[in-house]
Amino acid sequence: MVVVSLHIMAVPALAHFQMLYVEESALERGASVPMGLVFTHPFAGGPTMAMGQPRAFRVISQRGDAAQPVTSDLKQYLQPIQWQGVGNQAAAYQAVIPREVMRSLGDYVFLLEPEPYLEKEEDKYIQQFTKLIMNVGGVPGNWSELQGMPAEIQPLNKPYANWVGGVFRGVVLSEGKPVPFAEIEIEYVNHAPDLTGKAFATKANVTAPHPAYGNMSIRADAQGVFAIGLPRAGWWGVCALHVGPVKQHLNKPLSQDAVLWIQAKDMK
Amino acid sequence: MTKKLNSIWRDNGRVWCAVSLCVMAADAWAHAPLLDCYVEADQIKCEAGFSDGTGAEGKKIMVLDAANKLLLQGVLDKSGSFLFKAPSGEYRVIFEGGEGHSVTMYSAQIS
Repeated sequence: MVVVSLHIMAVPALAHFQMLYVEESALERGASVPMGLVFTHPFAGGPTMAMGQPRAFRVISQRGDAAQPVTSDLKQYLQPIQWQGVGNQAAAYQAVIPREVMRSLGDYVFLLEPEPYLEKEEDKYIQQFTKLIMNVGGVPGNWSELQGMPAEIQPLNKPYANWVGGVFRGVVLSEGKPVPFAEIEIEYVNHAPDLTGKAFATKANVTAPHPAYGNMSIRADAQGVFAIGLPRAGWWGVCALHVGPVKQHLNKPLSQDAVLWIQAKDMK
Repeated sequence: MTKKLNSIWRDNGRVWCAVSLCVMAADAWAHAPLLDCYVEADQIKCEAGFSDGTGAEGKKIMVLDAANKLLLQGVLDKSGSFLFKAPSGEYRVIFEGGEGHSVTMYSAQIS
C-alpha cells in the first residue's frame, strides 16, 4: 500500500517540458536577448534531463499582418552549459540572440527541434517541438501562424500578452491537422530561472495542494482546441503529448510532443 | 402583444446600434501607430506599423530639428520602413498614423 501511494505521488514529476526561456517575451524595443534551453520538470524545478545537440533552432519574424516572414537560423548562437536544477545538474544550452536579429518591430516565433531524449525508466524517446513567441514594440505579425512543425500548438491568444486571470486558448496539431481530445499537460514555472547563474531558484513560488495540481492534465476538445486559465504571473508551459507522426526512434517508442510557452502579468 | 414585441425589437435595434458604434470606436483606439528608429550602417532606419497589424506603407514620416524646422519628409515603403541620413544636432522623427494619431521619437532615443 505504501509502495502504491509513493508511486502515485511520483507520477506528476514525470511531466517533461522543453523550456525555451527568456525573462521578458514582450519587449518595447529591439535588444539582444539571453535565452535558456533546458529540459526539465518546471513545477518541481527538476529533475533536469541532459539535452543533446538541437536538430533545429530558428526564429521566424514578421512585422505586420501582410508582411513577408523572415527566417533566421539560430544554431550558431547555441552554447552548451550545465544547468543547475533542483536536485541535479544536467547538460543544457544557452543562446544570446543578437540585437541585429531582434531589432525590428513585430513578432518573433522561436522554434526548437531537440534531439530525441531517451527516457531510460520507460525505455522510450521523447522529442518536444517547442515554440516561444516574443514581440518587439507592439506591432503584431505571425504569432498565430502555423510553422509547419510535425507536432505544434497554434496559439489563439498572443502568448506574450496575457493578464493574470485571463484565459489562453490554442489548437493542438499533428502535421497541421487538429488532434481531437489531445492529451495536454500544463505546468507553472515554479522555481525562478536565473539565466546568469544557470540555475533554478531552490525555493518554490507556490505549493501544490495535491499531486494533480503540479502537473495539470487536461484534454483538448473534439476540434483539438483547449483553453486554460492563467491564475498567476510568470511562465506557463503547455505540452501536447504523443501528437507527432513519428512513433519510433532507434527501435524504441518515440513520443513527439508539442510545447508552447505563455507569459502572464499582473494587472497593476 | 404584437405592438409590445415591436417595441422590444425597436429597443433592441437601438441597443445594437449603440454596441456597433462602441465597437467602431474601440477599433479606432486599437489602431495605434507605433514607431522605432535605430542606426543601420551610416543611416537611420525607422520602422512604423500599427498595433492591429495593419501595415504603414504610404504613410507620412517627418524629421524636424530642435527649432521645429522640417528637415525632410517622406513616405514609408512597402515594409513600413524609411531610411535617412542623420542630420547634425538634435532632431525628432514623427510618424503620422492618420486620424490625428502620431508618434514621435527623439534622436537621443536612437542608437
